[in-house]
Amino acid sequence: MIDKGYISGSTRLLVLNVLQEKACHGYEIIKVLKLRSNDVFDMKEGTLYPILHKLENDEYIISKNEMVNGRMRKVYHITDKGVKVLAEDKAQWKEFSSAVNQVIAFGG
Amino acid sequence: MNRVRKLILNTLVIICSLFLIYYFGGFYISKETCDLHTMRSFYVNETTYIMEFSNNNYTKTIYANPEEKTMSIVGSKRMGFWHQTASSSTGHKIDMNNKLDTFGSYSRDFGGMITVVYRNDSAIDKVEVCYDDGFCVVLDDWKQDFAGVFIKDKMWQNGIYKAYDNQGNLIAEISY
Amino acid sequence: MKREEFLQLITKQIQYVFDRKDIEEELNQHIEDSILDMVDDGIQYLEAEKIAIQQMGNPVEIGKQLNKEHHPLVGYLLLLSKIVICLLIIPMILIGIILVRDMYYVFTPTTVSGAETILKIHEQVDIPTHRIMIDNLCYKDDTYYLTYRSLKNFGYSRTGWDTDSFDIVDVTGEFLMGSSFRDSNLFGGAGYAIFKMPEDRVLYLRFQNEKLVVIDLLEYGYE
Repeated sequence: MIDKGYISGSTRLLVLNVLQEKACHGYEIIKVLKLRSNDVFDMKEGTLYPILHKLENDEYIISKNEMVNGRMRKVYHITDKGVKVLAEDKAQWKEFSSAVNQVIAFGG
Repeated sequence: MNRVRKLILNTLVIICSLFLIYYFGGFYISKETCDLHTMRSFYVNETTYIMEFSNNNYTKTIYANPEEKTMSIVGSKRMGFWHQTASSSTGHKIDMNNKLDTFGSYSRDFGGMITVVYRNDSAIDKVEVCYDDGFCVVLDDWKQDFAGVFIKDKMWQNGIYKAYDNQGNLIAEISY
Repeated sequence: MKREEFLQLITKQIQYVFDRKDIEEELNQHIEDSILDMVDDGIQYLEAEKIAIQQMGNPVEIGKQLNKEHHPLVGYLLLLSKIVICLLIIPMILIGIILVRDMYYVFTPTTVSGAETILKIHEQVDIPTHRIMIDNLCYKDDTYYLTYRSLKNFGYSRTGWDTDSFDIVDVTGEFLMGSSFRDSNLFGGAGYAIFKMPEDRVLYLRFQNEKLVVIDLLEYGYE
């Protein structure tokens, strides 16, 4: 299990990335994250929802009630504003992670 | 649009609507300004407050302009904090040739008639008014040489106005 | 913990009451999906339900985090503002209609219905309380009409009573004006005055402050 500290800083990046590819409902997002990260990202599922609702308040994603697999669900779509902030987050992450890599490479 | 923005937008819409209602609805915060604006409609601009009569939320205020020797009866109605023009408002040029002059107004909204007398002779102590139907009233509460009364539920009637000095002598008489 | 109890614990933390139902539905749906996936993998329904609930996390924590995103103050104020707007809709529509109609009267020169507009005068007169626009000379059934509009100055009066009237006299000072008609609107008024056409075709308009405005109809093209 990864330290929660690393995860919370980058959840926006992770969630927006999933939604950029495809609009999903909550459970789908969890499944994709688990799958892609080979279970490294295995967070408490309920904590996804405050994150999603906050992203919606910030207008990075928008929810619509849609029919999925025979049931009405709240499906989240990324917005233009969200696409922009995702690109910024990705750029920042690259900068951050390469800096960390450089420092620890040096340390040995 | 997120909730905060919707709230701000709604608040702006509400403020604008309320302002439009306030402005075009003729609502005034001060009765004095409301009366002043009403008087502008009969070319009276500067006045001094003399007295007023109220009935429920209707008020008729008596104003006078000492330079031009005019007096006005101005109606207003109160709704909570707000005042609006109401009932009939009229002006009258005081007859300075007589010792006594009178003016009045009746409106159904206000609920009765008002009669006001002006004494052009400081010897006048009281004025007795008797109407055609036998109703009589005495006016002796002088405010800047004006005295008036509000007679509830009385329709406009002609009356005889008799002015007496403090010895009881008849000084002037008019019929109005 | 039972599912019912779990969801109640979460929604109890949401102070803006009207969002509770949606949140409960969304979370319930998630638990359902989770259970179905586990049932597909061969786990018993009741067992799957227990696991699914456990995997969700601490309900009170989740509820508190969600409450931050469903701020009660904003929620209730927005609801209140919507109610107030609903109450204001009818007065606003009425005012809107009156405003639009009155603005039309303000911006279009007055004419007399059924009468022929024989001269466009369009003369502006400023008196202390109003701006008056003498619009047209109209003619119908041997009668001459002088039409006008008036705009009250800002701060003049909001009581609806206005003084924008004028007299029409001829060069000797004799009254030419007969009857008149005036309609009040939110911005002032509009109307017309019927008058007797003078021989020299010159009208003198006398306003309240003794201001005199000369309208020589010949100059405007009257024949």
